Amino acid sequence: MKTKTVYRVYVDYEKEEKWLNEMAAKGWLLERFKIGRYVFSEGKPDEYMYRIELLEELPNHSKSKAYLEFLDEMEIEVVDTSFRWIFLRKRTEDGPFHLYSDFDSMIAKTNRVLQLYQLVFLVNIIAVCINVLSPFAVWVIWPNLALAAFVAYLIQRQTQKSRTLKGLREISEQD
Amino acid sequence: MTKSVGSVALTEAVYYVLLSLQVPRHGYGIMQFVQELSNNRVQLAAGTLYGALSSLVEKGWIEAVEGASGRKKEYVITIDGQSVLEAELVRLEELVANGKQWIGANRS
Repeated sequence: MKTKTVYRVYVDYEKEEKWLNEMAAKGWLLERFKIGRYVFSEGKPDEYMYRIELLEELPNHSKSKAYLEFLDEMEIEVVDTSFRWIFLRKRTEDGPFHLYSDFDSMIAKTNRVLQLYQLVFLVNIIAVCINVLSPFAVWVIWPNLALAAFVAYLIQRQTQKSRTLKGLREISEQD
Repeated sequence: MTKSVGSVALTEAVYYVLLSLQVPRHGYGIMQFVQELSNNRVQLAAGTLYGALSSLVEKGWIEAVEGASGRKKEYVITIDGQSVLEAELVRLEELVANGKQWIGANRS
């Protein structure tokens, strides 16, 4: 089987998901992932649709295992996992692939992503502060700040998304 | 905010899940049944369906049963779930009856 390895770093998972689907449309199917490293195999164009999900717990937690088992029963394949992120794919012939179809679960996912971005932002700011007070690797300050600024932009976007979804939920049925 | 069981307005997803579990079904079966019932209008996505099933089990409105098909987990409605569903039907009938009576009332 022909494979292709691509090195890329994504902070924005939505952009990453879009790219994976563009690759899949061309017949390159993601098989393995390690931060920055994507391994694709050659398949048929438009055979699969990919989704990236953020779990509440690590993949080997019993809660996550039950969810992954359920996804498997729903004909959704777990391609690879990395930390709490999982890469999923489903055959396009089985219809469109969405993980969430109501506002509550969409809001919950948006908030999970938001919290992770906030953590990344905080870690970077703390690293910069420590580095300014007692310089250990001054050159890291700028990449740290750049990453923090980009994540701040993503946080703003996810917050906006969460707010829009909440607005829609308010005028529809809820538990 | 806590509400008494009888006054809960169910989400469309929950209503259809309860309706489909009048007989035992597994996740994929629920999704297909709901899609057929609603002429493809309601398509339960896997993550949303999983969340709905988990919270309904927690509430005691549905329960997991030994699946006839072996590997796949099946669910069925409980007595509590059945009474919630019936109360919801009464509420929906009220909405429909009022809608029929009042929509366009000022034009006649």
